[in-house]
Amino acid sequence: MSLPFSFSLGGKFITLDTVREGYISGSFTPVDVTKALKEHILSCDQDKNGPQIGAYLEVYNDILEQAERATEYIAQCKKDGVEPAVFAGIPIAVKDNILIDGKEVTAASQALKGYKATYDATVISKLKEQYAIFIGRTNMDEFAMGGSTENSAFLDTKNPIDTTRVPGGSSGGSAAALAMNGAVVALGTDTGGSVRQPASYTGTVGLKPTYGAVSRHGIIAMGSSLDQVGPMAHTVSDVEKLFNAIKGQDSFDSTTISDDTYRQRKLHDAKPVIGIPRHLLNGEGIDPEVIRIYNETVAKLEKLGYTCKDIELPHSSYALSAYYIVMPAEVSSNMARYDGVKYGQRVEGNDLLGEYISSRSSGFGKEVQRRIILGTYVLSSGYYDAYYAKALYARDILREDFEKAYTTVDVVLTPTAPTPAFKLGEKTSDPLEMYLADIFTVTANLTGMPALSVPAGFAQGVYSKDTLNGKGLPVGVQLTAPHGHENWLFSVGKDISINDTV
Amino acid sequence: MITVKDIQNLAQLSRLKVEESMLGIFTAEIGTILGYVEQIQHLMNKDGIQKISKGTGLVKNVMRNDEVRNPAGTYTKKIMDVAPDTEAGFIAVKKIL
Repeated sequence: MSLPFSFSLGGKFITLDTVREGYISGSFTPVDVTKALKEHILSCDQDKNGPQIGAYLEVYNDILEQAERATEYIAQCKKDGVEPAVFAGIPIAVKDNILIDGKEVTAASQALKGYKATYDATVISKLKEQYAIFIGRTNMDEFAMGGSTENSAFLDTKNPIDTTRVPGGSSGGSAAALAMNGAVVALGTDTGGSVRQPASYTGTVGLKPTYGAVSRHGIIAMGSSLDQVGPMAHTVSDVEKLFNAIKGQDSFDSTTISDDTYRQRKLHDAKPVIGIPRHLLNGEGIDPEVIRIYNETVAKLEKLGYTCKDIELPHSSYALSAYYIVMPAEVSSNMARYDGVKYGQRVEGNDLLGEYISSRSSGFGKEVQRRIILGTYVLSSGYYDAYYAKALYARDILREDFEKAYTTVDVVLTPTAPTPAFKLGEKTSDPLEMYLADIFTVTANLTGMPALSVPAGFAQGVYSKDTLNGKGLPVGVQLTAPHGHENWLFSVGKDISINDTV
Repeated sequence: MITVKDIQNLAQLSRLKVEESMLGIFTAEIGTILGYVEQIQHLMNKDGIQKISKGTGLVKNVMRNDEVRNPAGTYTKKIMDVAPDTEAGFIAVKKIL
């Protein structure tokens, strides 16, 4: 059957409802969609004459079988007169650090090349129950460490909006897959902004849920007090659906929360009151186009009847420092498991210790090694109190800043990233410069609060050159809510998002 | 100031060997990063006292019944298949003693 739409680079985004309506009305099936999508992905990613975006590390060889199963399931639902599950037959791109039983998963690292997962991550089993289609695994920064996807051991991913620029990271492959119309929704992970920053750079939507809202069973860990699985999509509405499909308490992950872990709050007004921490925009390195789009978003919200109130988050300047202490500390601990003994790459050494060292040194890329060493330093005796203990205290203070703001506002609006997508290679030689791109996103991971990046406009002027459709580079804004209040993010996000309004 | 010798020592503790050509670069880069994050040491409370974290108050033990979830051997083959080296049903490693 021919589809009433096409997956094309620069064409109209294909959303969940578009696909689902066709399945329900019977005008096409998951097999039709999957065939068309596969052809499009191959032309974008692998065709020598194509743009070679490099969003996917692998397109799974069983996608048609998955689509056939979904097609049969939908047919059976119709026979039985029941609604098919929301994700039945919906093509999903999966970041390469999420385990799918029997499929290769590498976290874009040489250390895990060829490793096949031995079980399904909880998020995967939840989506399998709904007959979703896993298209393939997407490129990322090695072990999710980076903000440009340039730390992948395998390939660079280009930003489909401007192929001389990065898609962001670490979930850059998932964001690029969406932006090239090579997936309907995607899964990423977010430790310090790895879902939200690429969403901002590619004009897509990304959520970092409340810490513990989504199970991390079967996710390759990076910073265990910070990591969350994050749903990504073209629209806020699709991100909301994906979040609802994957969230929930899980006996395999003792950090997951229940519905009553956090108290339900009341809004201060009929519509959520928006907090504006204007002092954060005065920092160095914030692009004037980002500030323009931020101000236009505030004006848009006011026009829609929202109250916007100035707030102070006095300790925000400590967030990035706290993050780049806590995260490497946890990285140095989580990476200890890659010893070349039980799984992953083993490189011959003289003795057992020599084999650990040779396996790890050749398996890990530079950024991973840098963070392990940094983490080992901040945790070492004599420095622990000066760094790690202080960073933990900073997390308390940051949380208190937000709680104080929440006494007068419901959600907080900031930019997602200080600039639009930067050029490939622009920041690879200066790790600190790369880290500064995380300045607005790390806070939500440190506090555990949910945060959503929503496409709000396009950076123009110098940025318009060479962009897809000549629109300029996408810029997102970030909304942060109290723990457990993702629903507020979705309702405000839908009003901001330039992808949700037709 | 962090030195080349510190980096070598930290690498050894982390079971890594930093290539000769990278030692100087890592020392400089990690020095720059530490120079930035050091601002955390200025963080004090209103009384100028450096406090320690009191945490979220949410940390608690999460228990579950200690029961077998899958029959013995369910995952054995899969797990052994991804091990780098096996011998007679065991994962093989370099001799320790």
